[in-house]
Amino acid sequence: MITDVTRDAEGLRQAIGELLEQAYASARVTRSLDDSDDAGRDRIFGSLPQLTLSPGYYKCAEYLLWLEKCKNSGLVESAFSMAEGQGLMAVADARREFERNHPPCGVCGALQESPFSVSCCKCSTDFVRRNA
Amino acid sequence: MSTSDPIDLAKPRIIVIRQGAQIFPYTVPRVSQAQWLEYFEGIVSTAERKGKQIVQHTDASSAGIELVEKMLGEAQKVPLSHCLAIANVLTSAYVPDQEMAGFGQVPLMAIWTAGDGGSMRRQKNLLHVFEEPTAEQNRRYRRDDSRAQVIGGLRKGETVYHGAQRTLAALYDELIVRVEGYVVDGAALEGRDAIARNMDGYHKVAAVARLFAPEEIEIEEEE
Repeated sequence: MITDVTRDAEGLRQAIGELLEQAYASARVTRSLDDSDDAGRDRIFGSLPQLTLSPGYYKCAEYLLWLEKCKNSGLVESAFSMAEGQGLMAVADARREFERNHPPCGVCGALQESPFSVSCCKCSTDFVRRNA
Repeated sequence: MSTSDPIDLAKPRIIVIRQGAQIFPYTVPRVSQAQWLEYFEGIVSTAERKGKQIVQHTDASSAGIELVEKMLGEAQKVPLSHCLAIANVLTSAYVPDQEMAGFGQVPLMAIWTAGDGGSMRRQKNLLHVFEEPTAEQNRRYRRDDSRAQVIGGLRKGETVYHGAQRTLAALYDELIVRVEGYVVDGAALEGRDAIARNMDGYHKVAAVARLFAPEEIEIEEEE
């Protein structure tokens, strides 16, 4: 089976989702790196979410994330190709899923580790559950 | 020809291979842009995931052998090792240490042709000066560089990259302003159209790719 990566919207959505999760986890552990020895750093890096797809998906996903940024900055002059349009929709879908899994704190805006967090990981505000 | 003499793009290249006391000189005619594009398309670049590792593999030698056989003609029987050596010379251009003399000024080094004494020499006086790419040109490069196919499934499949050399060659023709170290039939090589028409396709791609490469980050090693 041969797949053209630029046209595999579902594969790209997964790849973008994994990149977003990895970037989020990297940002969280960066603070711990300064105080760690080599073994500790290896452990921290080893605990980061792994990328699981064939490498070509991530190169294309990185292009789409870059294209999204250009689009939001008004830097794109020519029309999107059909594949780019589908790819940008995959970015939007992956971002929505990521935001569902990491909702922002209503007080400080920090993204939470999980939608079930009971207090903010940054400002410690207690979250009140609806229907609790 | 000394290393300070400019490269004459119109003249055939003399590539000399020495094996012990034996000398094998080969005359290689000018490689056309179309032949270079065919060569680039023949390069196979793959990557696949093996557990936590990514195994990458690039094979340019088959494309190189095919190019050399085309250039020398099938009538001439060239040993495989000589084919590979000639291909290495034809594709020897590189940007030294990824350095730019200023934004858009890309120095190149390349082995071109044998000097008067019959030995191959590295040219160090080559310079390509470019306009700054537009955001749209950057987009074209990044889009085409990210194209790939996956053979055999989302996770365990092998990625085959298409490469963006064709796009880079086109971007070279759009962005080049002037060059140093090259002549055509002894005359200076000036003006975008003349440079685009005459420049060696491999030198084009090697030089313009530097504009789109990330800057090197200087890292200080801990004591």
